[in-house]
Amino acid sequence: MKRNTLTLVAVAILLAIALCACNIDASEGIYSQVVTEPDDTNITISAYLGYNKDSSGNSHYYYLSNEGVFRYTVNSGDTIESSSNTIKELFASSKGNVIRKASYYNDGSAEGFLILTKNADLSTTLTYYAYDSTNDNFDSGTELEGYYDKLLVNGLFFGKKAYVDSESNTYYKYGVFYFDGSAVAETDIISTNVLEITAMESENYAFFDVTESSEHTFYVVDADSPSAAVLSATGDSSLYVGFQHISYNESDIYMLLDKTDSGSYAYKLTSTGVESWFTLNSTLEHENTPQSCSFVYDDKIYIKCSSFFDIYDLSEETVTSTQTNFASELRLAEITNIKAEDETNSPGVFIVGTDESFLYQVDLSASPSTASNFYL
Amino acid sequence: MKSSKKFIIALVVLVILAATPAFAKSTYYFKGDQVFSIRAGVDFPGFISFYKDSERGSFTFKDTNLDLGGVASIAYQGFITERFALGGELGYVFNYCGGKLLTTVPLTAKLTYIPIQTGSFDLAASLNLGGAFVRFKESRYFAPYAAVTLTPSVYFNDNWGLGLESGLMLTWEFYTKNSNKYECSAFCGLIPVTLTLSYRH
Repeated sequence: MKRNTLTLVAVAILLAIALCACNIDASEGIYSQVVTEPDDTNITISAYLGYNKDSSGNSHYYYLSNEGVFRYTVNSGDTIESSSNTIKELFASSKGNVIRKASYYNDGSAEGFLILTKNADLSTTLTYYAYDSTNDNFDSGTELEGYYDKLLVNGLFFGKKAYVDSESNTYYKYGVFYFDGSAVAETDIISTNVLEITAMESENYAFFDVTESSEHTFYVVDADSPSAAVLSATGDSSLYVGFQHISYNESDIYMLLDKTDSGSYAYKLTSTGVESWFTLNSTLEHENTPQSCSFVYDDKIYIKCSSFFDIYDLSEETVTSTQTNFASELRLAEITNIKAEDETNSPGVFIVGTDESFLYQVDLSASPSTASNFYL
Repeated sequence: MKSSKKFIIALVVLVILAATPAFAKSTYYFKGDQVFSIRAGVDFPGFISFYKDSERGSFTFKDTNLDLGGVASIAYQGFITERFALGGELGYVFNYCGGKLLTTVPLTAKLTYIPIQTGSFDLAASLNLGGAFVRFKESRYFAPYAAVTLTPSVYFNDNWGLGLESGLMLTWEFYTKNSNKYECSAFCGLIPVTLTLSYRH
């Protein structure tokens, strides 16, 4: 009788455990995450910087990692997955000289890098290093005078620049600046008062939330013609988490993304202010972290969410979500930035920098779309 | 034929042989005998099957994205007949996936059938049923869990024995039709190969 009771108790416990087994807190299927989890490379890509193709047909991809600025070369005829691809360190980040941001500069006649470093005394220095194609190296660098806090991948930077008046007194202007190939030049976002600036970028465009005397003004600047903002509007103090420039039907749309407790939303920034646009199906990844995590192809906006890509169809005006094809490879990756590889020669091909999984090449022009990891 | 299939066939043959009367004549254990065992070893990824998502289907072995892992457990059982022992087992299973840790902590009832028991050699077939805490990154899940294992053991004296254990550990991640994760429902099968140290009295 005692044995039978023990058996009964054991079976009852077993059944209770099996029946009570349930989902506690899996935000997504655990094994769904497992099969698509990208490899951890121990390389943190701070930003994918840019691309060019040399006269021999070799493709060069530039990126900033936690260790410095690097050039990833795919020889002509090879693919990004080829084991013969090479990596060359261009600028090393070191203690006392940490590379915080970098920008690849190539205007057709001049080629080089803008590098913003944080020094041992916690100050920052912005330096332009010109590329010498004959010797395949860079010069010793030209420090750009001023005190610049931030540098965007598209080459715009902000902080303060010193000027000297007619009586030889030094004064400062605060605002957004750019490098014109030889010196620092001003945009029209400039003031002699201290400006508080936050920025997000999307390819060649950048959104600036500029606070002066507690008043917010939103600006959009095209880094290809940066002397004047293409749009300015008074704004509120909302801290948006995403920005995207969209060229559609021969007009420009400037999208802002916001994440709140009640959902994730897209807005249009116009000269009259911020207008509601659409509600995302999924939840944006980041809150209060400005992040470029969207891209545009074939009249569709792809927005990276926590485990889906939401797709807004500009012609249908509908929102759908996907986690298949290219998205199955990227949906769990922490994306740092996305840039078109070469919109003119390979439309639909994007390069994606990730926090832990190195670089991906996304091809939306392929059917089905693909995302491939660069060989390491 | 793949080596994994050969391995499974060999296991099945051993179980069938073990159940035949020629091997099952005599008994060594009595009702009330007890066995305490500790096991440790490796586990190989077997499969992950999304049975509610035909588009994804099943991933096997290396395609599961899991690396070789480790498994350890402690178990205590009492004999309810001369050939059947019933008890419980607490385990810990880990695998790396993309450099990140997938952990499974099974807590199960364990029923063991020992058709061959000579005193110096046992062949035991066990069934575990219960639940497992599964964790990957920030996600957690408490899943139904089952395991089937076969353990040939050699006893050096009346108390201590060492065995080699293998089989299949199965975790079931299930969602109802009302869940937006319905298509994430999955079975995960892992193949353990462990050494088992047993103490009986």
